[in-house]
Amino acid sequence: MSGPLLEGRDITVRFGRGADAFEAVRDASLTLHPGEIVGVVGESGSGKTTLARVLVGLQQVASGAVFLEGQPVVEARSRESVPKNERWKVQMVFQDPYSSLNPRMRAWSAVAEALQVWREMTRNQARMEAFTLLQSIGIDESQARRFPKALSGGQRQRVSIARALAPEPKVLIADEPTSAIDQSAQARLANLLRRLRSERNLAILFISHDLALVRYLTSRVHVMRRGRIVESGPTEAVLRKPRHSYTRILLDSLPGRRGEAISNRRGEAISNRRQERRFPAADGSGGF
Amino acid sequence: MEAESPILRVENLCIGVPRRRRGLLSIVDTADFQLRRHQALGVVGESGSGKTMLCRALMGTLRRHGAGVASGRILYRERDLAGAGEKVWRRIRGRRIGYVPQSSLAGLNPVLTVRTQLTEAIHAAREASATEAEDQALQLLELVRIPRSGQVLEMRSHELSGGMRQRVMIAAALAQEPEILIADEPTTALDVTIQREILNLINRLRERLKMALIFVSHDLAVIEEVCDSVMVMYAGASVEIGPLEAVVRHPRHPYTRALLASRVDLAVPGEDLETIPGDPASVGAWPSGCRFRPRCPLAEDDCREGVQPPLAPAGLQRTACLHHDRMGCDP
Repeated sequence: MSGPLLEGRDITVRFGRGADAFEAVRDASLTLHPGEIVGVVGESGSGKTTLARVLVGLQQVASGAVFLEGQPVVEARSRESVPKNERWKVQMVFQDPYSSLNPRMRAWSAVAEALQVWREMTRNQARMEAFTLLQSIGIDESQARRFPKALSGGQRQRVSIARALAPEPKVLIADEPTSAIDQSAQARLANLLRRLRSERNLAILFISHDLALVRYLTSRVHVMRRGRIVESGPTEAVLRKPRHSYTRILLDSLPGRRGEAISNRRGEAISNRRQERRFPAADGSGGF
Repeated sequence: MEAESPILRVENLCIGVPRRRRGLLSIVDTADFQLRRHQALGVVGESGSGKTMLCRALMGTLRRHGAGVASGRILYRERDLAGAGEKVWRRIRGRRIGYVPQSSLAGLNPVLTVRTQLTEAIHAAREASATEAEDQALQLLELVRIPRSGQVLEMRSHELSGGMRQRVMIAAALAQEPEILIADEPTTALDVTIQREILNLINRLRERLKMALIFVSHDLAVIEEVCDSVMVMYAGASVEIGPLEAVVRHPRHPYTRALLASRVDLAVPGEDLETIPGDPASVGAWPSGCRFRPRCPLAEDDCREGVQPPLAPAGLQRTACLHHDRMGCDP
């Protein structure tokens, strides 16, 4: 087997200096191979977003390094970020689809701009390609002509993905891409990510606090807490038999029937809890 | 035992925003449900379905948002509040119907201490001396299980974590011992472990204080944790309402079924999730007849006629679907 496409090795990110220094990420290592979706789960402040920013070269590291196809692209003490001619390979989709698109550019032109920059297309070529690309992820022509504010959250997020796909990257880093959108749009986006993985052999790092989504989408998962990766492994194994107490707490916190699908132990806990709760007497007639 | 009469009945409620020249723009049309004592009703729907506007109508704050009740009734203990003025609402809002907003910095006043905000709420409810009010404020913080309540009393909202802030907002809503608590997406922005604590807290408080609850969320899984019945809204209308178990196990509206089918928590990895074709009907562009019709696998010609169908009994619940009898029973 060839080496990983993207690798983060012993990454530490420190904010501030001296006694006040805060380590947002500490000794985090992960790898990403072509055609796989890897999850990073954790709560707010766990360092997931900082780690993502390191991997795309938006954040300097205190120690550790990032390797892209075996070559170091991010290193400690280096002022240089990822070399310009390598940047197209790793693209990022941000959490908030409201702030990641230029409100004054129509959907198609936001995508066309990226195509012009990355693929050196002419204006006309880029325009045609933008419509085709948007079409392929479920944004039709009339929607593509709209401004971001006239699109729903899910549509906007798909436009952001189209923009990230413009340079035909090898890696997509998706930072909580589904947390700001409705459930049915979430399902559509999850299907899209799976399709991109299989059709384009794209490697996807899927960062989320939603264990149910991570379980559905990813083959391997890293659990982060306070800047450290506390547990890693195949998703099914980690979620079925969590070794770290924090992973177990995360699983037990899932609302509704989410946990039931993951572990039976958890299912029992829920049905017990549900029986304890008093249901008002169903009088059949007056209720509904 | 005699069936208890509901404390809140919302009948064919329509909410609109006045438009320049062209009359009213409907944003909720129609909401229809009732709430009995101790009942916990979940309201689920996607953005733009009218959930938040419904909450505002029940709190009498529509006017502040440039909207108003166009028709229908909001019967609180048999008294119609739909057309009530601010004077009436001031006696209801907070006192009879409490409100917990979405967790955010905006829910609390950033320049006032927790003490000030809680004692203000207590004074609004009843005559109390300063010491009495302070004692009660401490009790409220203990009720919502805030440790070191004495210290927290002196803090301002930016010094509190998201979970603590939400607890303080719940405490403030409980200060006047409301009969009905309305919570609008109270855990949406919180981490799962904090969400779990808040949901447990709401369950315990409901048990202890015997409140009725209206819990609004876009997440059915969260509603399953705290509610015993659920109302599904689509494009401003109530499309299905009934006991939680019945609605989740045997949905009687195609939209409810589609929502359940797109749930990732119940999906099998490796299989595509079911999605609803098309996009949600947006306000001002609702189709004729049933609003879900353009996206519905069961739609027939009669679905396009007239207005949104009203809720009609079906099984244990009520549904707005004209063809629910053709639905299989499993989600």
